[in-house]
Amino acid sequence: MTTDKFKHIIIPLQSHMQLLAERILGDETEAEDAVQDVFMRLWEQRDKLDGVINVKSYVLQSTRLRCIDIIRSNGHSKEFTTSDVDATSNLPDLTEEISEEVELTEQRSAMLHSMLNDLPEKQRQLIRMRYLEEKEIAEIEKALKMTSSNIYTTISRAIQTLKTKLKNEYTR
Amino acid sequence: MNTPDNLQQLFDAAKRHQKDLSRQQKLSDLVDQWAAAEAAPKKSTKRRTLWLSMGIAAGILLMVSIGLRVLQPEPSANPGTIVAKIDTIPQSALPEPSSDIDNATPTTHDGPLHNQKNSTKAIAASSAERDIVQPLIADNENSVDNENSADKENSSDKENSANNDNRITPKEQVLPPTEHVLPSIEQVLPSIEQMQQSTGQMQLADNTITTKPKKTVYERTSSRLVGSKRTSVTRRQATDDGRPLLALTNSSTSITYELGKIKF
Repeated sequence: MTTDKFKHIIIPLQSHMQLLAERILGDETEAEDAVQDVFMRLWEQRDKLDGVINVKSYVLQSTRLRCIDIIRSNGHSKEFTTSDVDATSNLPDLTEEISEEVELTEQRSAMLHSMLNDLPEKQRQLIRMRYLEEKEIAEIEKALKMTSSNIYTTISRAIQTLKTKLKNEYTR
Repeated sequence: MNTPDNLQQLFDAAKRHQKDLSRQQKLSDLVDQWAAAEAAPKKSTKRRTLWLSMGIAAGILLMVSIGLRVLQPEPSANPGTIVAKIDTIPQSALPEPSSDIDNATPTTHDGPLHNQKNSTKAIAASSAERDIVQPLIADNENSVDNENSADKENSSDKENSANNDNRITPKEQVLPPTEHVLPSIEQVLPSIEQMQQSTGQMQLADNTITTKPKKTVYERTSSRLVGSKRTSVTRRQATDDGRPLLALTNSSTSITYELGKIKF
């Protein structure tokens, strides 16, 4: 498997791997490290990936085994039971479940960005900074040179608009 | 499509999706680095091999040079080095080589040695008090050599003086004569005669009179056994004001002279 092929086929599966690792390990940072380890091993054995029929299942199974290795090692912080591992043992169902969840996340994200694009520039900017980038009001004040009252007022109006849009989407 | 129950779910999904995109970008960069790292080792290995071989070669050269230096004898221990240095003196600066080195006149910084001896004998012969001067003449022959070796040492041992004679080697004679040759005793003689007139019984005691005006006074005492009587002869040369001062003391007679500010 070439580098470009690896980038276009394996790397987009990162969302699935991350979600599976988080479910098994219960920690976002540990899941991120586990996913990176799996990516490194996949890169080292990328020549063998060309012969794999279902790449997504293969990658998720590799992630699951890596998470189990981490759990067996002494350094894992989470109290882990066999049922947690058993819950991930049915790989086909798990793969389908993970895939659905990743797809739903991408859809909702796309929906929100679509709704944000309909907002005025100032409201869109404030919603992004406050809810997506999770910035404090003081930081926004400095960055946009606005008073806090103006910021709160503008954000409140933007939220009302988004709720209305979401309600309309729900009733559609 | 599932519609979210509230707006917060949309924000959570958007944040998660944004994080995933960021992680994918990081992984993409990592893959690029891994690909570059796999391509780079060929060059780095070549460079490393080159540097390693150069280092080994330099180390071998260093060890060989150190070994050669250890095996090579010290250059200063080679007597031929001195000869080579002498050979570097231009021929024009060297004096005419003597055909008979053995008959060559020994030369010292005080002038020709035989001239000093002969002039001393001549002065001694012309002296009125021969009995005092006679033992001194024999001692003066030794004092010539003592002048060459150490002026402030006593010249009581004749064997040492004889050894000093042997130090005059033909090689020293070949060396170019020094420019600062002291005047011979004949040139200094008029002033000595004036001193004899002024000091009465004072006699010429040493032929090593120096013409340097500010020479410090020093004395030398020679002691010898003549028969059953030990005779001590003391010679002093030059006062602080540059005036030559000749003194002779015979210890057997306990004669003491006082000249100027110096008390003997």
